[in-house]
Amino acid sequence: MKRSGLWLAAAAVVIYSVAPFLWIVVTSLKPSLEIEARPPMLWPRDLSLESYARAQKGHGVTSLLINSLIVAGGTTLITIPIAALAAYALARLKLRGRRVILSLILVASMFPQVALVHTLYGMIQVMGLVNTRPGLSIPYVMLTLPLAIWILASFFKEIPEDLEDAARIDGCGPVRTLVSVFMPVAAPGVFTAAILTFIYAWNEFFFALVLLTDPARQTLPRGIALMPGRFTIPWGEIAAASVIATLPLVILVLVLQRRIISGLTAGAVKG
Amino acid sequence: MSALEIREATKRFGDVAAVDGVSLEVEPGAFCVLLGPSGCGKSTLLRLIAGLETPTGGRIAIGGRDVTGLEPKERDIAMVFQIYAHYPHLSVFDNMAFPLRVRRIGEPEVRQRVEEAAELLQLSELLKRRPRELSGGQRQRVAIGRAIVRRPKLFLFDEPLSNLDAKLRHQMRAELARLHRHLNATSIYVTHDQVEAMTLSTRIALMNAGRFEQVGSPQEMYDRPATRFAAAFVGSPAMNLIEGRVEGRTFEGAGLRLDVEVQTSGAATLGVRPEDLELVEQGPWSGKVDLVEYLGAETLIHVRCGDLVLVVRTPQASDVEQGRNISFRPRRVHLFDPSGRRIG
Repeated sequence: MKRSGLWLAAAAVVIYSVAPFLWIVVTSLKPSLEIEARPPMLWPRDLSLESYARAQKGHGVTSLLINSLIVAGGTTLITIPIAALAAYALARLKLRGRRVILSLILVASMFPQVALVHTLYGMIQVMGLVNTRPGLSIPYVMLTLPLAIWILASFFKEIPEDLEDAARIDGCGPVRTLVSVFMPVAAPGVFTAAILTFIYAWNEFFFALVLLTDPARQTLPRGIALMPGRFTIPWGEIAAASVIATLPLVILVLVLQRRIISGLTAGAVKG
Repeated sequence: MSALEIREATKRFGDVAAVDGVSLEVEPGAFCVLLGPSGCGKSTLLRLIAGLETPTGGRIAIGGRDVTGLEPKERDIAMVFQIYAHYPHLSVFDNMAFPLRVRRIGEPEVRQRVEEAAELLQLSELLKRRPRELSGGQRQRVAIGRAIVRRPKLFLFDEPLSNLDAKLRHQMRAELARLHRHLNATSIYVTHDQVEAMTLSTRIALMNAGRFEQVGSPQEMYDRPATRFAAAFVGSPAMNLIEGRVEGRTFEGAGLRLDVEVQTSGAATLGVRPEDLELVEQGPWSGKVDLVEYLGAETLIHVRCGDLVLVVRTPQASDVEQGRNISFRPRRVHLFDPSGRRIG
């Protein structure tokens, strides 16, 4: 009885979350006539990739995808090493005011983006990076660092220091300890932080809207938002581009989830 | 030449001296236990020996070589940690091989040494598994295996059994003793468990507040505690301690009197182990039975004398009943002055 209730609740949550996305997938596969049909059809009579073709031809969806990959990937590649170093120091050093530092880092992530965008635009302009992909990655690194540092610091703290002591006694220097012992154990935490950072940068819309006006450099969220024309809303192309925007994240999470969940530390400590 | 020599070692953290100028010599092949309550500095001392901490003062020599400024890996030691500290991403074999591979020992020899150690520790069947697939006792054996493949000059153990349940701890204790006899390797073993200390060690260094209270064989420690702290810490149930005064060769405290052979007079503490109190028909001491604990092989009788409760240990099942008055006499006593030093 209790079990079936749980299943029902779980099913409700899944349907609630997945249904809109499924609707977008279905819409992207309908020929344009069926998209406008009233009443709407739950399943297309003829599967068609015409929306995808038009999204590519009219809006250059592949170049949006590549821009997004560069910006989000670049952000992750910069954020994670910096965050890992900061988090390691915060987790291991006997720092006075460690909690204060952690709180300040959290505070830094609390400013609404609207409050930052004005000065940020000025700074990016001075650096000559408006309308460039690095010009977008730099603010993204700033926005994602606090979260990444928090995730990694709490994860690193869980890794017993005895493990590093054991490596030192076994004959490892600092680099070998980091590469052969610490990183493999910390990997799930690092992947988690990396995925969240990537997703944040991938989805970010507001800064992309302000800092990238050149259509050739735009990222997917901004590109999709600008698809509607003056008189028409091209639902098919929007749906197709949305599917293209979502798939990399779904693949990323599915591929890496085993690494995240595997909980490699089990066995290092008691229990 | 001693296997380990510590001279005036001190370690300060800020204003606190965790280890406060201790000196110790350990003979080759000895099993030396650093015993003490938590926070007494025993783990810090072990970490100083390992080189995981740098001493604020003093010297440490292993096998006659001064290692004070050396990295752990240059000290030729191996250490077994309380939490086992396995590398969770490596198999049991790779865990045990790790310290050898780091030292670039050839793969055939690595294989041979690991298999030898696995044989000794009954791990041969488990070499392909991951640490998380093992039971607590097996994990601890892997940790020990990782230490013995190295064939180091000195084995260090940091409370290796305190994560195990009572039965397993008992079993591993016996295995450790057997292993030590087999390898005859000099070992330094940190524990707060005095039973472990008594059963495993050839020598005990009892620590309190960063200093040694007493260093000696388990028997010396038990039969002639050098300080009041040592008397109270070693032994279970604990020694009975009676506060009082010595005047003219007579001790008096808590309404109990006893003739003692000391010259001094003034405040003193009299200590009697529970098994050194003997029930008699008519005796110098008497009190009311507060509680009787029947333990099978022996019985503990708690006797109230004024404000004090003394524990008497008798080997046989006793017919003593609660609330009755009984007489008893001390067979052997220990006497400590107010600073805690033994005076008789």
